[in-house]
Amino acid sequence: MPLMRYLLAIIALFAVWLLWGGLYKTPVLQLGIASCALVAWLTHRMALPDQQEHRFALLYRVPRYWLWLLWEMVVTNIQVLRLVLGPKSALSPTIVDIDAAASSKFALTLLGNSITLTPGTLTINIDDTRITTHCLTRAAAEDLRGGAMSRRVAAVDPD
Amino acid sequence: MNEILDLIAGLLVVAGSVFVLAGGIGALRMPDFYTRIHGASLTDSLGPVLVLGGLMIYAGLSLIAVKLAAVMLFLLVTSPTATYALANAALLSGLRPEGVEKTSTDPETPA
Repeated sequence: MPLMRYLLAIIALFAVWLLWGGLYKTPVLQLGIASCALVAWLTHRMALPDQQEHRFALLYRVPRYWLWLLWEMVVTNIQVLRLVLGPKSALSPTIVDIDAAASSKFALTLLGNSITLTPGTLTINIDDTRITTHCLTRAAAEDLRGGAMSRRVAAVDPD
Repeated sequence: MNEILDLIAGLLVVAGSVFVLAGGIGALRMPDFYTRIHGASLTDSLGPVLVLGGLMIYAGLSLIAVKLAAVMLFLLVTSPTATYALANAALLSGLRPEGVEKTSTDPETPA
């Protein structure tokens, strides 16, 4: 029922508005409700992929994945920090295709963003079956090809 | 106890600044467009996480810490999306990565 979802979205957004703003005067609140309604409408227009039945499981699976990703970020940031300050001969740029044929749109987005977020690997193209990545070194490409990240993303959103 | 927390917060902010600075150096030093993106990506991955994490410790358990966490969350979702838009635009307009070992096997992507 679209009207119900509109209302729920506006209520959730307005709760965040109240929490962030902390300024409870009538014109401010009116402005808040108006902008929440605008955001709900814009989001509806974007026609985001509908995955209602997964939403609640994602709420606890995604944060757990983020913790793992944070550790990966620490490791790869230090690697790239060394490469940036070290000699250019240490670079061995490589392009790797990651097979992602079985993934949902959410999993594709999560995997693509995670690859970009860990320095040393960069998502340059996504289509329905594979993610093309540019890697700073051959070792980073091998790590990616090992598939640890793909498996964890698949565990977050098994489809 | 407060002094120790302030010290940890300061160290985290300084460590984050080191990564942001290294990102700037990387963007200047790397040889081609794609590797420059790799260098610059230091600026928007661990750098802001450490800086905002340090500020969260400094703020203590308060609404400010929650807001900082929200800023970090938005940053970690939006910055790789923006980076992808940049890299994908370069790829689609036909810019080839320099010195790449294995080229893409996909006939559709001009890599």
